[in-house]
Amino acid sequence: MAQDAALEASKPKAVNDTPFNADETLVSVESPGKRWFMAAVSVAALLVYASYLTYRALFTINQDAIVFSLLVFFAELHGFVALFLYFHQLWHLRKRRVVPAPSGLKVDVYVTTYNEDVDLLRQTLRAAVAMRYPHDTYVLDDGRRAEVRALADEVGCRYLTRPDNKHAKAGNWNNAFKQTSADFIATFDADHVPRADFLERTLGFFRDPKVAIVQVPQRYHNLDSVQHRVNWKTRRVISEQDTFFNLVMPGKDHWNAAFFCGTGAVLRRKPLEPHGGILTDTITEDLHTSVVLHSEGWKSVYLNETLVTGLAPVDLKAFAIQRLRWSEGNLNAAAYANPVTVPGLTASQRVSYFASLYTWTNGLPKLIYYLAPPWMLFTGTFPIAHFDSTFVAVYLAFLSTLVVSYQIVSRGTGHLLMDELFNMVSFFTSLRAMKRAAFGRGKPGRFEVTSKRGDGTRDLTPVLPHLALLAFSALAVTWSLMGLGFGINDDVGGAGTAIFWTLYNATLMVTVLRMSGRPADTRADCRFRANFAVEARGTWTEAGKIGVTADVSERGCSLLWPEPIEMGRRVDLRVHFGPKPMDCTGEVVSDQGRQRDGWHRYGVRFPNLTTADMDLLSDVAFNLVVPDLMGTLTEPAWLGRQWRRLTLAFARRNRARRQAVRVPMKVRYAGSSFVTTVRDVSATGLQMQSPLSLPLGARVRVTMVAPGRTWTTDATVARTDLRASDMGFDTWIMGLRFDREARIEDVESFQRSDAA
Amino acid sequence: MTLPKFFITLGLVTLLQSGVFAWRYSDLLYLGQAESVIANSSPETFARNADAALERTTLTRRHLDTIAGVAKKFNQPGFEVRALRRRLELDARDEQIKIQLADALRRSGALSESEALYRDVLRTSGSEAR
Repeated sequence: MAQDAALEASKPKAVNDTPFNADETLVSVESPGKRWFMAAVSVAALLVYASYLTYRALFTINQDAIVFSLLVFFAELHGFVALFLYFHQLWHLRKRRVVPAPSGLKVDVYVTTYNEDVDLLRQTLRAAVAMRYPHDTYVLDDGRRAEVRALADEVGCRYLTRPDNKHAKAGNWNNAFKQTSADFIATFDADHVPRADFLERTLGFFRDPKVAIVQVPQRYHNLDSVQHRVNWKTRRVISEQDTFFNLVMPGKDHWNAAFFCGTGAVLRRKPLEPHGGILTDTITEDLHTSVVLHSEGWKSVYLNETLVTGLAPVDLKAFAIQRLRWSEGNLNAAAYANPVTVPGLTASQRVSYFASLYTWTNGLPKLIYYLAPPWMLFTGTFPIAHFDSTFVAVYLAFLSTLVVSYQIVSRGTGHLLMDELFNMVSFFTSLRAMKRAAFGRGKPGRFEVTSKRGDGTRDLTPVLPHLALLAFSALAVTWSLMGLGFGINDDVGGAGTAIFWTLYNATLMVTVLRMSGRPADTRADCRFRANFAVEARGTWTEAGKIGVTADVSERGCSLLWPEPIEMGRRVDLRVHFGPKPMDCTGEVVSDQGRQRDGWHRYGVRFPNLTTADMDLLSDVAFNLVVPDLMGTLTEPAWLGRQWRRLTLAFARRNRARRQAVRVPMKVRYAGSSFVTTVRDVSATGLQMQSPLSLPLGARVRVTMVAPGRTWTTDATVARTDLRASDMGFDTWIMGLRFDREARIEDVESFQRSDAA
Repeated sequence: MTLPKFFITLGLVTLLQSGVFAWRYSDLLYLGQAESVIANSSPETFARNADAALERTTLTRRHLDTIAGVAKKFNQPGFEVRALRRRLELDARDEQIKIQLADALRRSGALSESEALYRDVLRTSGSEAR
């Protein structure tokens, strides 16, 4: 009897012991008034689009070029459906109120791997093991590598493998599913590093017994990836997946249609058991599994918090492989669980899932749009019967309505040009996927792992279709110009329009070609753009000389140093990673010359790093740098951006404006001193990241350092915010107020020294 | 494939395309010259190019005017009539073209059609119309 009681006590607590409905955690992002406004704009835009299509169908189909004309009309019709689906998904944006995780849940964490670098995996496994909520971590190695087994032993997780690679990642996952027993499974790709509170933030939703999936967004820390655009001056970052994770998924969550994205998610075991785990019929097991679970009445939750960061494809080749897998898999999923017909889904879930599939058919209309203008130039035929002022007026009205409504409904965060660019990047991938899905129905595609680090080469293979299009467009423009020049053709208006359209497309193609050259560097490791003060040690230079990093990676850094260093020289350095300085030897392996602001920039390799040092660098990256980047690289909405532009334009010129800088600084306080970097500076004060807690009102003396000059002043701590960390990286963001207002020339000389 | 190779290939293809253009539009390039220059060439050359040009579905006004003008000089009213008929399709209300066509028809022996066209011009713009 006592044994039974003990057994009962040892069982995990039921998560549904208190009635709880996860729908209660859904909170509207917008006020009812704003939602009505958004709905009205959506409906109005769709009505305008429908009217335009009616006008096109009735009055502008060119009977003399009927096939060409109908193809262009089809592309416009496709756009209408896409817009309807987009607006449907954004009908009601929701966010989630986090509920505390019940204690005592049994949780397993799966980290799937196949051929990723062990160093990369090490970061993920260490972070997975370090998550606070009690759990068991498993590394699921489909590569059957001894070094991964050793790594698992070292970091304290369990190693699972299997004799074959059947069903790729899904098969690997299911192999672990059969060998483990926890009620909840958190799953991460090999490059997705979770935050320590990942489980605490996500498990609470499972108090609702109907919740099967909790998904968080996929954010990426390699901002030099092919899908990011970063303006370091304004500290704005745009990612190609922003719209999906910031708008579409919160919108889907409203319809209970947010789906499992393969990583950064927690799944309940119970609904997966009848299926033996996740579904293996397609190469996008995540979407397929989600459709099936939703059709069985289970719920999903999307928590839009950055709890995991991973690596985005670094080059176009990796990007194309990833998107081909997604598009092919998603289109193929319809063959197994067609969201339009599968029983059990609500109408809104059907529309939402259909939208996710429909997105991947975008390649066909895009191809028509890319080929239409050169075709017009070569043949002199137009898809419009009467290219007159009436059509131009109608078209411009329609287009402007479309652009404005898209921007409004995208809540000011739409990036039409970025969308157009990535449509250009992906159109051929989409066509390939459509072909494979159409002709390979029922056959799962080949699962190709996305390269996490690229190969550092300039491979034009992924852009061959773009090169062909570019050549076709260039020849068409030349042909047309020759025709105009030699008087063969006198339709300047028609040819001019087609040339303009062709050049617009060609600009996108050239941008894609330029992207094919990224990443510009050949360093194998991810570079984290971060500024840490670096102090000279030993006797190789003047004692106390300080510089700053421009970026750091697992094996080195870009160093900004105030004086020249010989190539190949080994230098002893202390890198001030907040509260954990690292003493190391650096070898100068590249010289990028003297920068405009006087700093000498060097590529420095750390040749003698111990495992502990590398772990420290990894911890620095994921506990100091990534949270800081995610916190500061924020993009205000359109209105905010215009307001900031306006205020900057009218800012008083007789006072140095606050501006982000990265210069090293010595701080003296109460008889001791430390070295750090300045984050921003103005005429009246500065902001720094301090490794020490200083009380409000504390008096400090600061010395900012730049090549050939220093500036010292007394200041008072006016603001201090703790940035807590689980890994011993507690730092304080401090605002210091100068005792006397700085002269413009004092401060601006440092503002020009923006290292990063 | 590298980008320099691509652009070199594109340059070569553009040159090739220029050749194709010259071959494809040799008749129109010939007719694009000044009338006085064409008039110095042989009537056979003109006839060959004019015939090829008039076989095309689209021609510019300038080409049609050139064909009509030179054909008149070479006394080849057949080409003149064909060119002016096409010209009239582009500007159906142009009285001047109608008169030119009526004149060319008269010279080519199509008197009844010529008369009808003259009458049409008189009816629409002459004193009878007023």
